[in-house]
Amino acid sequence: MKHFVTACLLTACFAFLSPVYAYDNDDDFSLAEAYGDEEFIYIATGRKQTVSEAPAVASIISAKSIRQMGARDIDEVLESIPGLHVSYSAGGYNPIYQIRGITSDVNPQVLMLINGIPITNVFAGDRSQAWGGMPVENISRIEVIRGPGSAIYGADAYAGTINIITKNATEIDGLELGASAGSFNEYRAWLQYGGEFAGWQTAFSAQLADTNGQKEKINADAQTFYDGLFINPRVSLAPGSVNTGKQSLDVRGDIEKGRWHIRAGYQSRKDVETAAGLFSALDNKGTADADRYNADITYQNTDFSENWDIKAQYSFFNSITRSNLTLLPAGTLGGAFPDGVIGEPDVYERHNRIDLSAFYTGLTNHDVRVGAGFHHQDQYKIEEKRNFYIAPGPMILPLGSLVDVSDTTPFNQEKTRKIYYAFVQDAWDFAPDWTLTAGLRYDHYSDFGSTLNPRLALVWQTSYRLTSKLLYGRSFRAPSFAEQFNINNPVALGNPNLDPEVIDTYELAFDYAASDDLKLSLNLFHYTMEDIIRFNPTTANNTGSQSGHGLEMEVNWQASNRLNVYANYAYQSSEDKETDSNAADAPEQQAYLRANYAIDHTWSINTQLNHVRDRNRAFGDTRGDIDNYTVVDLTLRAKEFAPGFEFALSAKNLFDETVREPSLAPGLIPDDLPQAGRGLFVELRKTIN
Amino acid sequence: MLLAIKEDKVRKNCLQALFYAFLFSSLFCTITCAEGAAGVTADTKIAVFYPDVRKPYNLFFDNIIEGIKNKTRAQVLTKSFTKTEKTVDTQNWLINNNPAVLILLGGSLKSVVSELKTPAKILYGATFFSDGEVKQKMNGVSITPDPITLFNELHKLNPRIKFIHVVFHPETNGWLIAKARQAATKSRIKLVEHPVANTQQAATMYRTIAKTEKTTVNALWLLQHEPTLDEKSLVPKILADAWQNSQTVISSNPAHVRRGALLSILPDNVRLGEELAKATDKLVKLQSVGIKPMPSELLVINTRTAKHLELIISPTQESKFALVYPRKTNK
Repeated sequence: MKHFVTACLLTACFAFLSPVYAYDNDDDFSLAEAYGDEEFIYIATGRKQTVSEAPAVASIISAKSIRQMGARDIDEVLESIPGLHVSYSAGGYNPIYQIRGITSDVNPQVLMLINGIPITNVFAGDRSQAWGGMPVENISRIEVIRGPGSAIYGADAYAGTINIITKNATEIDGLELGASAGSFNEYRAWLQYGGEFAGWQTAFSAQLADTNGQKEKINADAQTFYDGLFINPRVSLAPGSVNTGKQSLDVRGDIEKGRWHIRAGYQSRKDVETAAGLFSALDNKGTADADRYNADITYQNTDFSENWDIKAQYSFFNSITRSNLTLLPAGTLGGAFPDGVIGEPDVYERHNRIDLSAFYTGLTNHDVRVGAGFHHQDQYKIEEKRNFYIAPGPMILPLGSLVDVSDTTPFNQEKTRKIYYAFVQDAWDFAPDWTLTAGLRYDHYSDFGSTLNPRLALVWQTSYRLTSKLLYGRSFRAPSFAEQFNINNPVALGNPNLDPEVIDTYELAFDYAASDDLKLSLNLFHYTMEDIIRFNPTTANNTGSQSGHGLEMEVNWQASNRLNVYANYAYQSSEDKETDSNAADAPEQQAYLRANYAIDHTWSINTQLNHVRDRNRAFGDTRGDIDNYTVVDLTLRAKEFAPGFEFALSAKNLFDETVREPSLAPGLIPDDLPQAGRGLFVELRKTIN
Repeated sequence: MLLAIKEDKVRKNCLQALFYAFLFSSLFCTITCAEGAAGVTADTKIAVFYPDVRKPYNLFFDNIIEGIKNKTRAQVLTKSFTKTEKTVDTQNWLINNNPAVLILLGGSLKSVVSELKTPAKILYGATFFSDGEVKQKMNGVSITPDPITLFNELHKLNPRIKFIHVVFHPETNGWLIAKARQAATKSRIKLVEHPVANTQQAATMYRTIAKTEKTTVNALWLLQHEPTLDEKSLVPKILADAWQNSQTVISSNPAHVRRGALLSILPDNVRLGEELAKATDKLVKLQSVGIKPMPSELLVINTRTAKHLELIISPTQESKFALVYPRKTNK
């Protein structure tokens, strides 16, 4: 609470400190006047996209906001979205994007796209078992749709869709170099280029990062519990630090000429440490590596014929995850494992997609969009070495040594899946100020069959300042290969007969421009989830159902030319119908406040406050409540303090608040998962035109 | 007789010779004059001074200089001006380079010229001009867009509009209104001019227009750099009333489209540069230039407002806009 008050005071100080802005000179003023304002210059020069009036509840964060908040990773940015909270799973601290109370340890209910193309891994349905974060320097904007999106995007646009748009040539000003360093022995460097090369608009980006990661302590873990079962010496590494070190390389290229657009990317993650451990037991030796490649080629012809605008895209995505894990420490289980319980699972998968879509505008007052496509998912290699096997009971028994079980008793299977889809959508302006968007998408999966997902959106331009939306959508989440094809693991067996999870969502949304400088939005939602896939008790089944309702609101206030204030609040109440209890882990309330104050043309200061509260324990978990928390960040930035140079100093979790994300029930890590304390970071960047 | 014939022939030959001499001399004169008229040659030097401004404003000047270079054969010498620039250094620069024409970009450099001694002809660009400055026979291209593109597009979108009302401060925008009058006539629209002295008078005038004029045939045109048009208090009221009354509003200020005006126009800095290059040519030829509005075809439209006004915009029409607001979603 004291931090909330502090941040409010900071914001209030900014408000009173901000007299009328004076331009540096007449030229800035005249030139801004020529475009109306400075923001419009960015729009007009293609450096900023105008906001689309999507018939959905959406939030957009621009590169400018990302930089202002001093974000180093996409998770810091996503935490600022109303109704979205980033929690973490024990194994590798992989992010869990909890949207409107919908959460699970693997988090396949959220679809993440890069430039509109999914990066979902079919093995677990998440982004990768060794995700390792994503840097933000190359991000142009992030569009987050809360609520259903399957009528457009297909599978997994379930609780929400996160679309990351990377920078094109016009958004990178010549050559940009940057580096940063800070707490946790974190070092980052990046290089970006935007320009024209042989007639192609060319953008290139390379980002490197290396960190030891935060070292917050865990007092007890799963091994602490097992130690209690045996009379042998205690072997748990707890109390001990979580292991969150990692190295990453992100490279992206983007070339565009006329109707052709070609992009390629590579994400390498090395030595991603296991955080609190995959089995909720600290593991200070285990690491995972990931190599993710993607490429796409797009042809778009807006003048295909008088009324047709067509787009064809081929895309490729390859994801390799290799792990070397000490699941339980040396000497565990009464000394049965002198080197610990060791598992080395590797998953190789590739995805090929062909997508065709077209706009037809030949009908007055109708915008018709049709599309069809094919997606081939291929989990082409499963490899595993381990020194244990799990017997019914379940009991973990030693194999004697590390054995390659890839061809005998692997954890999963080499499988493929083919998906065919088609969709149609019509945005019909049936009366002045009224638009009805109706869409329907049909997906056929070679394994579980077909699914049909509709959406309806009634948008009413109620007045000059108010837009109202009434929305309905159905979405689905396809079962992952882990849920379908896990074998040789008595505690988590796959089920090839699974159906997809289904969610129906109703939303009522309002966007209100109280003035040109004050914009408000409010939405109310209700959802019902059916056929939730759970390992219940040990085999994956469509058993769960959940319903929830809530609201999200946003305020964006340009208090003066110097001060911008953004705030949001989200509330949700969800019920797990299987247990008649409140849905666990996700916060029922969140509040976020960000203020950016331009001291002058060079210096600016940004503060943000994030308050997370009311997270319930899962049914049967007898631990006490998960503590609420409030985190305040502060970033001081100097732009053009010397020609082409920019400098920033950021304090994350300025007041060193204790932040914990819930560990899995029943609480093998009793005190939950500790997150980073205070961190200080400096960055320096240079632009060479 | 023979003599007479010979005399005739001689006369004829003489006449022929005279004719050809006249023809060749005319041609020669035409060619030489043309060379002289071209004025700007590969040896001519044009100096472009522009202020050293922060991003993104620096893009303006980069694009303008690109436009100048596109349309001139002359050597284009550029010099950016920082706040600490010393007059003596600038003077020396001019002496060393001896440009035929000095182009001053941006409003802050208008005052520079009074401190300089140079035989170069002066041309101004990328700034606003007052009515008084236009009458002082200054030469240049304003940053204010030529309204003719705006009027033409309005006529295409809504041919029922017969009158465009404009409220303006004569000492600031009088010269532009004179040009707009002719432009409106070409678009078969009558410009209804409402000169006012201050914001209060302007507010009263907008209220009167809203009350008395039929919105089906009357549109409002909001000006850029108009001292009587208060952006904070008056513009939101005008646009809110216009929505309420289904009144068409066009504007020379592109940001007004984001706030609800139907149509506006973006600066075309490259074309501004090209226009400056043409003006340079005229100055060297000793022809008059005067002040011109910026030519631009870069239209911006608000489709939310267009739908509210029940205007049907075909995809072909829409694809011709430089910017459509709000962005058309493809999802």
